[in-house]
Amino acid sequence: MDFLKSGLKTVLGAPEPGHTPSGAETVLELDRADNETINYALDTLNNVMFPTQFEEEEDNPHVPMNIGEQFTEMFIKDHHNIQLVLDLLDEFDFRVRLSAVQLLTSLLTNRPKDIQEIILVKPMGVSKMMDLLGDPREVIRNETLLLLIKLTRGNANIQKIVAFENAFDRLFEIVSTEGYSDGGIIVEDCLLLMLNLLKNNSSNINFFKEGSYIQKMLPMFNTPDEAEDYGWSPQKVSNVHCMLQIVRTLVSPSNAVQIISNCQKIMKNVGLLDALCNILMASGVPADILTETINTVGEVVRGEVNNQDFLGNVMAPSNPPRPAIVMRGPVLLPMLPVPQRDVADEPGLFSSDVLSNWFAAVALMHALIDNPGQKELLLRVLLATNIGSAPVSLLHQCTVTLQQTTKLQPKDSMKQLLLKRIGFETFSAKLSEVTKHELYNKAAKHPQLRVKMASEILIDYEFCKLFKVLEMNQENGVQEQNSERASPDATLDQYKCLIRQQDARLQELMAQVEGLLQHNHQLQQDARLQELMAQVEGLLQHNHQLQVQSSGAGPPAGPVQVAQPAAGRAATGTDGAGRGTAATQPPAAGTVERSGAARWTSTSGSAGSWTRGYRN
Amino acid sequence: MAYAYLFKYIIIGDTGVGKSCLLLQFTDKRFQPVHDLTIGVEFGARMITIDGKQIKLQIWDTAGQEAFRSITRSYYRGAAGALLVYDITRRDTFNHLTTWLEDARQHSNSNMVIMLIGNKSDLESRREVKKEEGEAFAREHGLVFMETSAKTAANVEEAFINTAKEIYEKIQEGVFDINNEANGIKIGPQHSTAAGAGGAGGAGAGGAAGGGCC
Repeated sequence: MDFLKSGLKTVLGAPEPGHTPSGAETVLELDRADNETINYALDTLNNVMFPTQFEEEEDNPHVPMNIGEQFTEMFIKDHHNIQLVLDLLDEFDFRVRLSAVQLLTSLLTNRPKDIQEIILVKPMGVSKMMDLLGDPREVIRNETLLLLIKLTRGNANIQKIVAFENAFDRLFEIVSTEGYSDGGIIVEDCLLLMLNLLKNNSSNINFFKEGSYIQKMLPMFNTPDEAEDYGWSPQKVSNVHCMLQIVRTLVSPSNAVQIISNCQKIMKNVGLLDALCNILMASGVPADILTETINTVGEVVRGEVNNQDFLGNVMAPSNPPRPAIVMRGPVLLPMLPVPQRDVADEPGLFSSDVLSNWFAAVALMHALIDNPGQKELLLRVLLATNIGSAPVSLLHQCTVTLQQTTKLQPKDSMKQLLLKRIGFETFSAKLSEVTKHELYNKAAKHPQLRVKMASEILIDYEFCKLFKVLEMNQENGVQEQNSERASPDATLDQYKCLIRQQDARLQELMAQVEGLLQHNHQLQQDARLQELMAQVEGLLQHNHQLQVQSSGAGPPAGPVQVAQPAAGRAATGTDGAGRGTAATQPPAAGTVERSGAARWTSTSGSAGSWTRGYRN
Repeated sequence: MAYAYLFKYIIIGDTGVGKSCLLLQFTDKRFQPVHDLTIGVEFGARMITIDGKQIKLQIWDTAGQEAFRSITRSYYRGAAGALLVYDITRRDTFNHLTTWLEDARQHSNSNMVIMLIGNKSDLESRREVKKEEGEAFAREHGLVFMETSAKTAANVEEAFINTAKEIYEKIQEGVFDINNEANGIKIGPQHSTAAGAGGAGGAGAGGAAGGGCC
């Protein structure tokens, strides 16, 4: 590096070692009058600080990769150096001016933030550069455009000054003289600069809107007459793409609501929305432009009922004319698809690709939001499926898509899966990781999708918004489910326990009943026994009385003889005679005989003794 | 939408004197007691009528803080009118007027109309700068003077409109070169449609040549 440094000094003629700044200052300051010398000095500085490596440097191991940046750092240590270069912008000499502009561009490429801050505090720094846009020599004007694009990137204060210095007027002037979208790369440069001025700068967006610049964009979107040219040049594609980006920046969802709504109204009133719709209907529009136009139209009508209605009433160039949404519906829907995808593919809603479905559905949603009339209209839309087969309604297709693409688990099995297989802890841990994910943060910051590959997109802005709202609910919900799951178990156990208790109690009671029944039976038997005993007693007394009577009046021969053969039978016989039939009593008599045998014996004993007595 | 003329204004003065509130009162007709510190500049616009002609005012409200002074300087050159504001309840903001005026005169075009405004006239009890002092300062430096209240909206319309009248008169007198956009004046679309592209191209070339010689 040293050899380069000393080389620089030699070239610039400041060999004095230790003297603070280099030859740059010496030459640029002392030789101001000598345009040729100045020009060489500027060129040299530019070569030294040029951002990209020169061919011969690439193979030289002594030259560090970012040598240009290192020299830039040295150069800007003294802010006076920048002032010197800025002053040279005033020089009308072609080569000096051009070299100065190029040098500043190199400096800005190497150390954008530092240079921006330095230029901002230099009186008239930005204004001087803006003046160069009016330079009659196109080369200088074009180089200035590149310089301004670098200068305005990411610095709101510079952006505002540039806008204040009539940047939009001048840029629109250039764009119009260059032939609008058919113009060359200069048009694209102008549009890129406008985009820089507007992006994330509400003050400038307001200025753009109030300065009636939206109207001035109109000629840019004029579609060529039918069949004029089917081939769009790559430059035209780039130009139109930039124009669409400008429109989207004005109505970007990240702007203040009032600004968006104002811009949307103006866009409809001045016919910009109409012009955009014409692009949708035009033939031969390249796929990516069509995609971007749809995105743009989507944002121009978003949340603005009048614009939505306007879009709904756009007539497709068919015979007879039919509403564009109906006509182009199936054509529009597929256009929203993944970037870099063959648009001629199957329409979004018919696609088996989930992402395409999603895009198509989002497009539909935008068309429908807060607009009952449009909803009715879309319900009547019929989609052609295959040639020859009957058309299906849009709603039908949506339902089919829903059924096919989202194989939703039933709630219960989801719960099972969640709690048994995954585990609640793991689930909530994973859930909290979502917000920390790079893609989530990216999506949450950018309401507009900006992806080049299908793989780059996972979630979108709306999802992030929804997720934020639902995050708490989700966890609460699962926790609730969790506790719900737990409680049935508990109650089941409780009931099981209760049933077990009741079972035991039932057994106990059954046993009791059994015992009581037996007891009851016994008691009944006892009661009968006593009754019978009482009868026997009664009979004995009766018998005794009869004996007493018969002994008094002489015993009748018959009955006594009958009673003779068996003492036991005698009583029965007497009894039978007394009561009528003895035959009705035999079981009872038998029982009595069994249980009361002993007594009976004793009774018969007494009867015997009575018989003996009688015999005696 | 269509206007006869477009004037660019800037509002300058110390921090906290009520510049942003004046603008808000003029463009939105409302008062916001607590206002964020202005960073850099903010833009506002409104249409007014003078002499039966629609005039569009584009107003850049600058930051009063010293740190932003260099940014503010970038706005002087392209402005047709400036409102120089001080706070009648803070003497120091009145004392700094000379510095502001020097800055403005140095960086602006010589024809810029400057209106001196003593703001917060509703806070009479806390007044530190007499109305006569303001009038005297304005007379001495050739400014138009007015006391306003962004809170009660008193004189706010007048302040902006009188400045516009002054500019309009200067145009009628031929003092302003209305073809030079650096003066902060633009002719409305209905005036310039015919001259349109050709005139603009010529002006561009003239501007570049002018840049070359100085």
